[in-house]
Amino acid sequence: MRQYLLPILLLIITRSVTVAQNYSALSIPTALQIDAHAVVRYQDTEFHVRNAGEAVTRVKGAVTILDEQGEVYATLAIPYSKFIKITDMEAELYDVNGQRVKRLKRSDIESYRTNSGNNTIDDSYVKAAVLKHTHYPYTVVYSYEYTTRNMMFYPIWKAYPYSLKGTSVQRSSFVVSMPAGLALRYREQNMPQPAVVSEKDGRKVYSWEVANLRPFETEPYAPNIELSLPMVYTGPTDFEVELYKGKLTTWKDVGTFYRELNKDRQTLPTTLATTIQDVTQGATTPHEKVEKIYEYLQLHTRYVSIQLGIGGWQSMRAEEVAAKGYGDCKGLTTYMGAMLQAAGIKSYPALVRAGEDEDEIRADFPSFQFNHVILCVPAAKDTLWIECTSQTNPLGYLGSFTSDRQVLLITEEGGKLVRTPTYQPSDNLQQRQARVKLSDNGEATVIMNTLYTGLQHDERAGVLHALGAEDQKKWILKRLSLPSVEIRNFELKESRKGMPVVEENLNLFVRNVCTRSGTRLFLTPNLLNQVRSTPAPNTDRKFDFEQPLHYTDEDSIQFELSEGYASEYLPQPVKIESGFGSYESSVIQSGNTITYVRRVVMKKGRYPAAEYSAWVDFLKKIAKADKNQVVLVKK
Amino acid sequence: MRTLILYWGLCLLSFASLAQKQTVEFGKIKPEDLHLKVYPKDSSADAVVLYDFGETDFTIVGNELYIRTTYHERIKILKKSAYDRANVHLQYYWGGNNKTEIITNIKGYTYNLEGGVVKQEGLTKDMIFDERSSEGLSSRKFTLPNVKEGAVIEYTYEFMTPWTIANNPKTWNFQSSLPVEWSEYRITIPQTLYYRMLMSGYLPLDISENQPVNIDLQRLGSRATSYRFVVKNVPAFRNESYITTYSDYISRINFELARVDAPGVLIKNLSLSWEDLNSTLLSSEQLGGQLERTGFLKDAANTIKAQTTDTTAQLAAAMKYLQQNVRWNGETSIYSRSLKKILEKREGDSGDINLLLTALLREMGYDAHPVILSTRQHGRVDSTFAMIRQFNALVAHVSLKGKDVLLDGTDEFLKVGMLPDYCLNQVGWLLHPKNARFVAIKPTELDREFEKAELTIGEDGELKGTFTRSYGGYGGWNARKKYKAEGEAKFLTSVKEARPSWDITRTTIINQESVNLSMDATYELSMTDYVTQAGDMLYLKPMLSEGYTENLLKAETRAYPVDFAYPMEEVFVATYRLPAGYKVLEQPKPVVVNLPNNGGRFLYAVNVDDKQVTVTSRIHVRKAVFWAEEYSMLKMFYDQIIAKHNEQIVLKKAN
Repeated sequence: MRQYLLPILLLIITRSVTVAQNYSALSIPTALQIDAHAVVRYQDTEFHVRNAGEAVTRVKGAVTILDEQGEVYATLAIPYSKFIKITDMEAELYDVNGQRVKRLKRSDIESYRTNSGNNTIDDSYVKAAVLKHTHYPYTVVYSYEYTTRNMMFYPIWKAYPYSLKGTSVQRSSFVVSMPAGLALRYREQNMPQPAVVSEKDGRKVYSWEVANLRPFETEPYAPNIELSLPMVYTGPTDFEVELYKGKLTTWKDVGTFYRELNKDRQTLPTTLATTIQDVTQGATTPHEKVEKIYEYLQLHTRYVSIQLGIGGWQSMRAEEVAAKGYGDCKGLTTYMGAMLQAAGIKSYPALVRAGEDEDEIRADFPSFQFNHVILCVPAAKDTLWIECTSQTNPLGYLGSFTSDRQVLLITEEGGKLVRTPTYQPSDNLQQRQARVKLSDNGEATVIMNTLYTGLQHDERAGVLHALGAEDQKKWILKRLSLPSVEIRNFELKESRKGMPVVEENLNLFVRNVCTRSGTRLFLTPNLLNQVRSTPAPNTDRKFDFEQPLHYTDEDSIQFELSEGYASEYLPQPVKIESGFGSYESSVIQSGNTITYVRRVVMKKGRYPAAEYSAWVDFLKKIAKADKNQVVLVKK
Repeated sequence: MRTLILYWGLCLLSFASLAQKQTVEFGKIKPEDLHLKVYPKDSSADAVVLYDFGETDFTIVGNELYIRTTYHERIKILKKSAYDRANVHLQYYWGGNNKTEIITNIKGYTYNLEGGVVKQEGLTKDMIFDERSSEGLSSRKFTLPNVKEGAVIEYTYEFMTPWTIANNPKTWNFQSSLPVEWSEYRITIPQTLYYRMLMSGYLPLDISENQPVNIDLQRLGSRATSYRFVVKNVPAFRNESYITTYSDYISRINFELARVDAPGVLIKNLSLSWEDLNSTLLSSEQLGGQLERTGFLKDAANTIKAQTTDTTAQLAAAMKYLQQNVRWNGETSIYSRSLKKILEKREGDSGDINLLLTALLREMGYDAHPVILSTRQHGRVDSTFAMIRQFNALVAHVSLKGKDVLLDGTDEFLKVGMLPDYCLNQVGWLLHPKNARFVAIKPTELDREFEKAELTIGEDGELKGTFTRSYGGYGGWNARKKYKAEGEAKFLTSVKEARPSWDITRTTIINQESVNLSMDATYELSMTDYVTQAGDMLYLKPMLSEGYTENLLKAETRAYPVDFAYPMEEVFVATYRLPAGYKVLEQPKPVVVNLPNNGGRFLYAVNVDDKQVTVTSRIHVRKAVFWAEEYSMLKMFYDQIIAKHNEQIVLKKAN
């Protein structure tokens, strides 16, 4: 999926000093060179607010690049757009001894578009210049300045300018200077010292500084590293953008402003009112009405991302969406809301930070932290959540893109934080039943039925909707972890009522299902759902770890053996319980039939580092149990 | 699926009269196209191109010559997943006055059937967007309105390319990822311009016609030839694994300017024959010209020669000199603007680096020359046509005892004679003043992997001992690159993650840098997953986690050749010391499997003596490319390996 609406501004920072600096790489403390590819010698960032509608950002800094992997710092890239004007951009290059090699010329600076996907139209650019030297280490000294006229966004300052492995920071500072009458809001995260606040020329000045930060190193399965780094979030209390004025201290304010920006955009063409009446004819409950209207939306619109100027935050008008038959997430949500309204159904847009791997918003710091919008139809029971950009989603189903997170509901009384539904382990099922008819030579025919529900259904639903039959078959074939397989027949079906389900029916011919050595047949009954790799052990784990998904897998596989074999070995049942989930598997023989049953439940969550070894152990036990085999011998 | 025959050649020799009128008119749609629900010739398609038309001519606007092409496309949308086809994204070059491509006359319609009536909605100005970059590639985008399942969309536009930017018409692709009912390309070429036309792909032309016409093009004369090419019912091209590049397989037509016969035009003769191409490049300032001034490399050459007298060692030292002094920027080319400047800048593309290498070798006294080639991604070289455009990379060549030796100085993990995998594309051209010719580009190395295990079986089923994996040839090249990029800890993590039961107590990795040796990783370890204990019996999986369990060739049939790039050899030898009192009760039988035409061989054997069992598996795939006809044999070859690799050894305690 796609639909990002709100370009969240990330600022990279510098300041301009005329004092002679020592740029020799030889003066970097050894401690900062260990495990480092680049050392930020200093970086000073100043965010100078002129008034509610404009600010200047000045950044000055120097980075010493130690090796090839640190070379991303040799590229200076500054975003600009309709709202951001770059007023100064300078840079110099120094060699290892601190001798100046080069000064950036205007002709060295190039402009690029930053975002240009096939169905995206926008107007953001970046000015970039590369300062590379022939020998490491070398130092890039830079300073730049730009004015911002979109004051919805104040900077998020990061002590490490890039989330790049192998960066140390000798010194970095951040200053926000506010004019009289405008208050700053901020949120410090992992900062060694709180802000120093002073007054100068009637302005309030907030400063932060960090020094001697060693490179940070993350670990696999750890939460987003950004949560562990020193950062300062800042935000306005009063702001202006274009002709709009807003307040921003509470979530309520965020919602009020979004509402203001998007008011009077719900008018529908008059003919559509009749259409909606026709569409909803026969629908008796509000839910049925919503269903019909959503169907109409999905049939008559498509998603195209158009983010031009204030349009990044302001919706297309409902009439325009109706006429063109396309819109971005805001436009389509506005349009859907307007159609519901015409049918007498109340709904609210909900701003969301969408993405399968996105972090939760920082709920304690009201600001525009969102990149997407969905629609909410509130009800005492069974509130409906609607993804308006999808032509295929079942009504009310959010998927991994927007479920289980805090969102901002835009109501008449302003914004309200609420949570989208969480799909539980019992919602996200993979339920499989298979009959395997084995012959002596290891070949088998397999008839298999699998139900995928909830979040486990998303990927297959995508395949079902996006691919033609031949490519669906190819896709399924790629995912079957069988030795050598032919798909004789397949079918994908979906059910869109309630928790969505994709049903997959396969008729397979498989070679080498079991192997024969002499008089024995060896069979690993967990044919299709083995845990094959596990996290590497680490007795010195530092970070918490995450399991990303609640889910349940159930397999029941029946093997029909050919005549004349008796079991020589059947594995013992396995049952493993842990805080991370549970596992059970067993093999039962009855006459010529062997039945394998497996059930795994995994719990989404963040777990403390101290439990890492227990987690690895749990998964290793599963991997081992999954390899258990049955040995049959010729009678 | 049928096996396709590669059509590959010039196709302008038909003299049928050019008469057939264009039957598809913009803005007029056949109602039956709106009724279409499934495309019968490809029920899998989510959209069908009903009509794909392009017509090129040459025109003069304000004293500038332009190549003008009109495009007209009509697409039937069958499924929602094809909606993106209604978002059209055209890239054009923007470079200021007279150096900018111009897109004009954009028109479009969406047709839907509403209550049995055709509803036609036009593209309006607010649906057309221009995303201009300050210089270089910019985009013109438009989004057609109200696209629904069943809709037909259609658009047309005109593309004007100034001759100052490009003097070849754009490639016409008859084939795409959608099936095409009718693909037609027309071009009118003045007789003063001589173009080579190169048709490639697996589909024949259904119509190929030409006729003389009159034009009015000032100094480019008044006579021209009009060509018309049509392919009907073009199947969609679907990507497969183990192919070189999309463009090697789809059917298309390419143009390259060969000669201009107009008065006052500077471009005269451009690579008409291979001899012409050879002399054009050798006299080019950015290729041959660079090799005439190599004195600045004299000191480096002398230093290398003073180090060693051995030829191979000298060649290796020259490559090393380049690797240490000029970093490869990841790009390939066949040119260099200035070798001397590159050495000062210490960064360059493969043209820069390997021309420098050629120059250095000459300074060292070798008769070195450049070889130009086409990377796998850039597509196959057609040796019947001398087109400079076919080439995009350059390496150095020396002849040793009559053998061609190719050298690439861009990568520290290549050895003498070895080219990176992306260069392994059949053939290159040796640029030489007297002895210019094609040279075969064959992989000189295999992808080699050698695994050796010495393990003791415990009565509880635990295996203890050592396991060594050696990475050689292209395997070594890949392993070294991964090791360098990730560092040892990550390199080991990926080994451990894939083998949950390995408890590694000690790791030794050697020869990470010595490209002439294999890189060896040795582990001291214990493992618990490979022996099942049942009463007084032990079942041993002797291939550990290293055997084949899944056939990589998944599809049942194959329309195109399987191209692995290089041959492969994998050897696995494991010795298991038996627990006291245990004897082998049952063991897998030895096997030899051969691929036809000496394509490869699989050997498997188990040797038993009193105290130990030794298992040997050797897979040798000798050929890098297998034809589609050989696919089923190749797939079966891997099936037989899987069968053997999963067999087990049965041990029983003697009473």
